[in-house]
Amino acid sequence: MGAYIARRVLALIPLLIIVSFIVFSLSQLLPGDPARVIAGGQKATPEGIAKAREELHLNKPFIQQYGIWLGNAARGDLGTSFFDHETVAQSIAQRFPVTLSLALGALVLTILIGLPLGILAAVRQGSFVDRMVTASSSVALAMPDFWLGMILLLIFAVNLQVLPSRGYIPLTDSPAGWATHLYLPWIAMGVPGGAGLARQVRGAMIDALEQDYVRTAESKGLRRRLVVFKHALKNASLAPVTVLGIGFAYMLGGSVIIEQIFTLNGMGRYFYLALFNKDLPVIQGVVLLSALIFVVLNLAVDIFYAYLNPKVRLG
Amino acid sequence: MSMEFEPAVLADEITDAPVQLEIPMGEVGATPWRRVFRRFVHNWAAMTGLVIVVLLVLTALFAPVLAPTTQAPVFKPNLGPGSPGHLLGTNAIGRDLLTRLIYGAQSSMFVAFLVVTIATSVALVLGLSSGFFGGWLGGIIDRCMDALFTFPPLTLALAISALLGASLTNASLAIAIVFVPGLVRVIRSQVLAVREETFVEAARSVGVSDNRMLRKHVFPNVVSPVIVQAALAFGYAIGAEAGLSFLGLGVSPPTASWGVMLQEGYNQMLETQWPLIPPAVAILLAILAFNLVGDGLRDSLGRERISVDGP
Repeated sequence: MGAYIARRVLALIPLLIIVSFIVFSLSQLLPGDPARVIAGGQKATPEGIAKAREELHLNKPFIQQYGIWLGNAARGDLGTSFFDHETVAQSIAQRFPVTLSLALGALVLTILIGLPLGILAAVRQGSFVDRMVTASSSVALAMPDFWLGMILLLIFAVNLQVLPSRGYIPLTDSPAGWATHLYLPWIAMGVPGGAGLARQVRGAMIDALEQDYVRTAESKGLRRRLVVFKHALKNASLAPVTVLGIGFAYMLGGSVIIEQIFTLNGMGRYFYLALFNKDLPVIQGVVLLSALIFVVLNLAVDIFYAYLNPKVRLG
Repeated sequence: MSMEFEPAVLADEITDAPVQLEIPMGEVGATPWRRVFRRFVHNWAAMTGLVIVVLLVLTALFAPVLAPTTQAPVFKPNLGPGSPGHLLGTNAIGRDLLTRLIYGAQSSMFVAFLVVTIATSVALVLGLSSGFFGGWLGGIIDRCMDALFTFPPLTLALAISALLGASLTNASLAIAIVFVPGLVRVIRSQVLAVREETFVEAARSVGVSDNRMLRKHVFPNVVSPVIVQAALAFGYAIGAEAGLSFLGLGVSPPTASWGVMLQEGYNQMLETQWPLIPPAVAILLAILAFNLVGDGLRDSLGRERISVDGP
């Protein structure tokens, strides 16, 4: 197991180098001169620009700039925002609890919707229930999360006025307030997510239920419930767990439009404002962090799976 | 798992024999595609999707003819649905909503076609090279695709689109990049599977060149999963365009887009709720239609779980 983990971690090094290089290269897409922006835009003096250029290492070769940036990033220094002049790492840390609350709730809801429906559809394959699950998941998958968010906002916040439409209350201030402000965004993200998961689980379970060990278990006279949940579900979990891990990682990177619609001050909104200001350090910081979250979660899923399945670990 | 795709055309088994009997002798070569076509035509959900898709494409193509008014404001703001001369009413600055909806289809279809064209062409080149030639080139391509896969799709598309400057072409480019890694993986795994087939070994043993091998033996077996992925990518691209335009990173102002219409509807949600409905319905219908076509194609091509690695 230790050897497997070591092998997987070592394999991440080239990946992280390419990822960080792509993130750093985003600077090349930026039109205009960042040094001029820092030095005050239109009213920048040549001396001011030269000074900013020096501070940003812009007069060094590209590769050297990348090296300096990567070295800083590895120490947790993602630079300073061009606009509010706060460090990017600190600003992200302040906003991360919002995004984490959003993503965790959405993940729980995705599982609560997708897992039972997927199992039910697979166990009763071809039945009315199965057809209903398949049809409704088709419709739910055609709803982008921001689309659903807006419809929910329209119904529950504007028309029925039973839930607040915007803002965030920290969990530590008021758990009830925290939840009521997040119900709608959770549903907006959880329903399409749950529909996707239901399809995954259904497909994987149908495959697993056709395997020999399931037939053996059934012919031994084991209860159906035990066969479905212990034998089939365990073996069917690889693809769905991988997909859930990917989805959760992406959500932790910040759900830009959802946070914008519900005025949640998380990483997504921070990123959105930075996009409009062309605030390069913030853009690079958020993109790099979201990629790192993906890499770490993916590694965790792989290790978890190797732990469950010796074939993965030794293969 | 989904990584192992069987070549669709080969996987088609003789159990379909009755269908074969109806095919005239001269068309034997076209048999597998004919069977796919037949299965697709008998799938009512997929056919419904196809009808909507065709209508959408026609709407986009003939927008100037179909639109009831010009795109300019008509100076009668906030009319409700069913107003005389303005079937779907007007928005806050007095633009006819039906006209905007029709021109919005143009933006949507433009982005979707551009995204799918760019993404599949790039992915075909990268996926075929990686799968067929392998080696250090394949290694580099695979690592780069893994790296692209680590970025949340919308985050990367937004960053690229914002830095390049908001325009429909830039938005398409940004969304296309998001699709490439998933498509490359699908193509690569398909190529790897085909490479193990006996007919490839046979072709190689009689000295068929790489070029001919790619064209005649590998490519045809890669086409069907790519078609399925492309159809599903259309739906996703429509949603992504709406999202980017909603955030102001898609079309530039006078151009109509369903995403911009949603944005306008969102901004005046507290005063009037009607303007949100037409673009919302259009987006849902369009994505659903492309997804139904994609699902139908996947089932007709004889495969069940191909989208596992999709974006």
